[in-house]
Amino acid sequence: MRFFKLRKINLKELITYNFWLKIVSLILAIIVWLYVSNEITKGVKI
Amino acid sequence: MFLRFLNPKTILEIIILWIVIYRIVVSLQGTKGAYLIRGVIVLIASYFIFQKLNLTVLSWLLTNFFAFYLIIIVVIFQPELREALIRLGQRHIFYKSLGKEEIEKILREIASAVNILSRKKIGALIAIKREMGLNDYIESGILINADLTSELLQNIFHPLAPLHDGGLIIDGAKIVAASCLFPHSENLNLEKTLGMRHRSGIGLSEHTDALVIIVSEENGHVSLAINGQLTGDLTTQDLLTILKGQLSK
Repeated sequence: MRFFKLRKINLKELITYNFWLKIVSLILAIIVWLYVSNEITKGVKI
Repeated sequence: MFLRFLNPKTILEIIILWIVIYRIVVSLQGTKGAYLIRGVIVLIASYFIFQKLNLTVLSWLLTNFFAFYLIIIVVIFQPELREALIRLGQRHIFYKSLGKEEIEKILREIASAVNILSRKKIGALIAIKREMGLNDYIESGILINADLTSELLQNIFHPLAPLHDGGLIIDGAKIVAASCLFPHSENLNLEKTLGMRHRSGIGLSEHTDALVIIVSEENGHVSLAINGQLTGDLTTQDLLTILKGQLSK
């Protein structure tokens, strides 16, 4: 059953499950952080 | 610039952002919200391309449009945002108020009824309340407030019984209400062959943390909806095992 496969959490599954969603989320997180960080730095310079 | 990433504080900030974004993306998967995420990615990608190509007018338009986009998101996805906030404050109540033996007894009654309903091909829609309140849905049905027994469950879903249409709600060891209206699923990727009973079951599990058992009247198949995900074609033993696992967390 698919449900049980999802419930068993091991290290391999932690990485491979929803792998591409995790990668996209990480890229988005870095972009957001860079953008906000730059905005904050700009504000400090002014 | 990349040296900033080596700072432990920065790494921690990015990891927290990553987890939050990932949780949002996963919770929006299979709903209208998935298109929202795609829209945001397209806008961000376009913004960086315009910046790189030094297209100032398009960059300005996109930056200003983005502010409106955020307001539009809040308006359109108000129900989803409300549910996400409600889920943040969830606590385990069901299992603390009932002992392990009591839970097992309740589940045996449910499994027994589901088994008989399934064999007789009698449709049923049963929601088991967990942490989130189901008052809105209870009010849409007929209050029962009776002790949970397999016989009563079978009686309620008998095709000639006046309360057989709609969903039944179980809270602890009580059947709280029957003939309740559950919301239809907003998942656009559901199989077209699924009937209204399944869509309502999945819908309720999308809006709340309830466990929803669905017995098909077409073929007697038993399914279970949890957090918007449907697990189909379960045996009574499978159902019992999953329910025990879910309620013992």
